Amino acid sequence: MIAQRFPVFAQGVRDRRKSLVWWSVGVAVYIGVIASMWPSIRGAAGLSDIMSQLPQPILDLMGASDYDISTGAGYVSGELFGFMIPIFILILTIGAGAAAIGGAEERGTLDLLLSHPVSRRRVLLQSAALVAVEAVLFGIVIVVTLAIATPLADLQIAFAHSVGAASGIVLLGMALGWTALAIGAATGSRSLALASTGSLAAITYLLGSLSGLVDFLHNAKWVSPFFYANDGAPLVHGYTWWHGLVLAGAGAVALAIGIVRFDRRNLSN
Amino acid sequence: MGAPAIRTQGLTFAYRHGRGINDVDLEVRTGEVFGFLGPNGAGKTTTIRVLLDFLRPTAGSVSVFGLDSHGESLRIRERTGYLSGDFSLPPSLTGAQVLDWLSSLRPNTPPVRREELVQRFAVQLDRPMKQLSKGNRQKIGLVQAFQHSPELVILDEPTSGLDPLMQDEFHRFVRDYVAEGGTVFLSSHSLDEVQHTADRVGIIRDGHLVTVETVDDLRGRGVRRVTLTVAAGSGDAVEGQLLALDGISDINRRGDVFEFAVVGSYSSVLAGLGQLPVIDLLSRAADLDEVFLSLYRGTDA
Repeated sequence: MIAQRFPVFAQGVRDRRKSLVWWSVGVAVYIGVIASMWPSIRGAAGLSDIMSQLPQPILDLMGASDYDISTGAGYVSGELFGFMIPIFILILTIGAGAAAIGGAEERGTLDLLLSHPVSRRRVLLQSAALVAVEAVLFGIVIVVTLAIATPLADLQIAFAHSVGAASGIVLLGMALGWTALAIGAATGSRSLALASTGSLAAITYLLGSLSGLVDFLHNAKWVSPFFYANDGAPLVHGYTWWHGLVLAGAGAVALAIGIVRFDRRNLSN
Repeated sequence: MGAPAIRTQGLTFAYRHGRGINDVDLEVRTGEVFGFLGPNGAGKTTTIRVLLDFLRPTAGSVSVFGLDSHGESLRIRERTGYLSGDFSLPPSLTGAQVLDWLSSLRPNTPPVRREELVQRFAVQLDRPMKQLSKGNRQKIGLVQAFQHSPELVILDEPTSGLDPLMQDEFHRFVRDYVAEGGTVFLSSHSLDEVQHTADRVGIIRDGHLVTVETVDDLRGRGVRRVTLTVAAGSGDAVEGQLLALDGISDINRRGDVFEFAVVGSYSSVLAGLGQLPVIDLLSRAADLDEVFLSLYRGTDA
């Protein structure tokens, strides 16, 4: 049924099925390892003292301003959601987005696909759906792993907060994955899509973490997708839902530009 | 009815770095095999990519079945099969999976000819693409182009990688296909291939369509190759006389043996040769490639 109505999407799922399984296992294990360390870290009260003595700007630079070691949720939030989890999902979704059209064009499979009665727009939208599904799957793995780990490691993470924090991560992955997809579709180059989206992520991440440190960069956090994904430690305090709208909107704008550019350009062979 | 399978008028496509095609007027009739002939880089693939809406013409118009190549491309592609010159297939899929997947992109037309094609070309369906030789992958490409029995099939260098036996089988298949009402647009740099399959031939060179003729006309352009052996030692004298003769060109000499092309009236050339100390004369119809070369030289300017 899905295979017939959305053949491009279905083929993408088949292509990436195996690697998605391994990604899920890897991420779950990583979260599990971090979570399992909480009971022993909690006991080492000295760590919390050290953290509390660090000046705020240093914590900001470490991306650890929300790193509140006194609770399990704060620990997981700082340890995972500040850096590693965003990096993981971006590797996944930017990779998927860049490969979908830019990669197909470089490999020479796009010609064959588009010689069939399938519009370029349909190819792009079904690829976008694939990126979104991968991001959501990633989010589900986070929520499920945390739900299992919370009672085991006594993390005291509210289920609603875990869903909220995972949503921020999913939307971050989707927005930048769609950006990579759009750049690949607009240029026909997977490597360009990877490099430019990767740089965009690195630069905005840096701007976001410097914004608390450097006065004239004070407003820079507003351009950082990481801010909208993870500001205010959603795992501890709950997700600010309008932040999600910003990410979704940015992704949609990128897609729209990608569709227009892809529709109009000449394909390379 | 009535609309030609393909019609281009003043079709021009300019790449940023030059080349491309210039002012190509082409008409492919339904029910014929049209051979599109030219050396590599002449613009064959560019023309095909415009037909499929991969490239948008810089100038001129293109219609397929009377439909606009851009605005109505989806309706064109519903009715067209295509095999590109250097296509790639997902390496981990087997032949059967590739064919099923591509079929799913044409939900309205079942792959009615797949079985027949798989039999005729002895296609291996159960191995992943990465384990298949170039020739065996090429066969999968042929099957996917024809399996839905489309009205028009566009093929770009379709026999590259196929062994001679399979090439023959392919030529027969193409003839059968048009006999049943299909239309085939076949680009090739091999005259041999076009000679065996095409009804008419368009020759493209440096982006310009040089000529469109039937294969018979092209072969019958009066071009014949003659090998002439003259009496020992008379070569120098004969060479001068040959050069003065009208209607021959492309003279090669090895001692007392000459080889040349007769491009004008055969009988007046023979009359001229009658004056020479001829020992042996061998004459044969020129291959299409010799015709082709003479055409090319003719348009050098």
